[in-house]
Amino acid sequence: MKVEEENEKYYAIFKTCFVIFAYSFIGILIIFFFAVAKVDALQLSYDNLPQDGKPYYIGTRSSGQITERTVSYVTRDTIPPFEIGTVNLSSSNASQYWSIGLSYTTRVNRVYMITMYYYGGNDSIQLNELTGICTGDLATCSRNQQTINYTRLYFSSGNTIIEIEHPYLRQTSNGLEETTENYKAKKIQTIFVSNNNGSVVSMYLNATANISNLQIISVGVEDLGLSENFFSNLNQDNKNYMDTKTQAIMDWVTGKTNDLQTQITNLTSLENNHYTWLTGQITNARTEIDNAKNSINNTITQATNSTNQAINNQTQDITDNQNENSQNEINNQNNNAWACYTNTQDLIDMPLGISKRYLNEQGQEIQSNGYDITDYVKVQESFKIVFNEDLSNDNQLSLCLYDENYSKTRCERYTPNVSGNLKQHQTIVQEGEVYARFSFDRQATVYNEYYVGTYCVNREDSNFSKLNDTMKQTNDFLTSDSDADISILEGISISTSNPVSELITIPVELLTHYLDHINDTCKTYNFGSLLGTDLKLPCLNLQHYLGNNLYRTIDLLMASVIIYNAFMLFVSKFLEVLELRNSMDDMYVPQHAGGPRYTKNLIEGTYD
Amino acid sequence: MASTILNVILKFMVSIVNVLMTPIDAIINRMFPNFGSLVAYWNEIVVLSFGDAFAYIVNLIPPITKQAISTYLIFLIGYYGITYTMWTITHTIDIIKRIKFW
Repeated sequence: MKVEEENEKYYAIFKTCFVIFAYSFIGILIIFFFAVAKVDALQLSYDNLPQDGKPYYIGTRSSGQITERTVSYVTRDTIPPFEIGTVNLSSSNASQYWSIGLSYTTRVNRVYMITMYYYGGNDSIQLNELTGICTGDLATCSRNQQTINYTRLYFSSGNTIIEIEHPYLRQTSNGLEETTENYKAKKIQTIFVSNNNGSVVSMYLNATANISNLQIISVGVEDLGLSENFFSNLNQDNKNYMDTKTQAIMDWVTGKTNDLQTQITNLTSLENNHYTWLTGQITNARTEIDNAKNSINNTITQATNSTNQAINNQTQDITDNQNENSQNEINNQNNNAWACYTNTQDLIDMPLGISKRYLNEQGQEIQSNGYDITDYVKVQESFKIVFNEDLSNDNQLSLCLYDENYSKTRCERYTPNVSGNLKQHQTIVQEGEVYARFSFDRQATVYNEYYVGTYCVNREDSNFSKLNDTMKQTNDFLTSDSDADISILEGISISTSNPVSELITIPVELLTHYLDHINDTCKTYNFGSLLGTDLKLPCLNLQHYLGNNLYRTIDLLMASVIIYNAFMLFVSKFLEVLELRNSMDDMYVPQHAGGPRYTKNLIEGTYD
Repeated sequence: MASTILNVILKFMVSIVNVLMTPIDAIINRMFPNFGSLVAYWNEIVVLSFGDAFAYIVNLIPPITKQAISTYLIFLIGYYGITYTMWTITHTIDIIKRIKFW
């Protein structure tokens, strides 16, 4: 009895500790999630100043090297655009460029914005070519040392008038004095994306006008975060942060829009040219297709008539038992079996497709610098080619045959005759699965109308042989005594599936499908496969409608609830296991109380 | 990682079901030769239509919640999958032992 009480006491202590641990763990998880959200919000506001606590240098120069004036240390609490130094440039001369700059070590793919407030100066100051970024120390930064280590996105014109609301240092006869009055200053900004990591980048601002009495109030640099986050955050509900950036970004967007509009104008012009060209091509293609159709129909008609005539003649010959006359007739047919078509335009889309033209964008035939005048043509019939066009002495034409792997098997070369003209050179390609291609041996001078002049089909070889083959196969099949030939059953599939297994495992298939598509981006749903309609559910981007903050808050709350429930389920299962173990302990009977019940029964060979 | 483990578990379950159902599948195929194609067609409709609908709805859920649900489902299915698969195996072996045809 004491043992059981002892066990219950330990079990109660353990259970209490475990539940406390479980709730603590859940609490830590919730705090962790909100901490992540908080850090994320901080990143949106200040976004981890890259040089936190490191010096920023600011300096001036009228020519030559930059003189370092002040060194400021930036902390995380600095409110952007933070002031890192004040420089007086009143002694600069006209027509000399001046520079003010700062340098630090950038990180890759981050958007930085440098802002400078200045006061005074000449209104005609040229600010349109003043910003540069270069690698290395500011002191050695050359004016022309533009590098590829950044991508400048935006540069304001410097005409933005802002009102400084905090004290500033002003150059007086007594030197720099702090003022308390508000005054209007001008602001220039540039935004760029750093393309390298870990190198010192110096930025400088240049001008070539009279800048006497100009006072640089402040120059600051601000890390706007990773470039992808920066651009994605533009559409998010973060107006407080973006208010200070809106004007600069809108200016940049306007500039990009203008650039795009220019590109669109150029593309529209180009598109019109292409449209005109394409219209001409389509018209030509339609004409050629119509001609080819007519030619094919003529070919089929003539071949059919010829075949029917030949069949009738042969049938008549057999019926009349006039073998000698029949043989003469067949010989005549063979001699007249070549049906030739000489319309060169039709040859472009003849059944064998053995002609090819090279056209430029304006639809004009171009000089062929290649060797091939045809594509690979699959030869399924016997045919002969007659070239009506002339070939110069400098060129030779070849007909090459290829196997199914486009490996050359045989080439026949046609050399122009003495007069330089090749009138009617014939060749016969054996019937079969071969590929033919016509090509020049050397680079050719292309004639305006250089086509395969005549296309001929040997009807006896093609139609008769096919007909005879078909008749022979049919006769063989009908007279065959073999019952084992089941080739006629080809195409009739015998089901070898597992229908019951597939029915049982439908949920598993669904789950697998779910796992495959769980990480998909926003997608539409088509009812077509289910209902046979064109109804589509649109892609719903709830983050876009709810805003980033609300969306993330809902996300965290829902995830917290699910994690809580899952964890409590896990706890309950674990406790069930513990209780099961406790009940097993209860079933144990010590030796002094009669021995283990089950041991005794097992020895006796009986069961409860 | 969790998805891979779950995929392995699912394939294991499917293999076991296929092995156990082989005689019944053979009988069904013999009696109803076209039933297999009908089931395959039905499977395609169910998996593509309902599976896509399921994926569409799931993709509306925010990412952290979606990940939490997935992890929860993976553990749940893994737990019950292993439990019932082992139950099926042990009972099948038990039945075979009871037959004692050797």
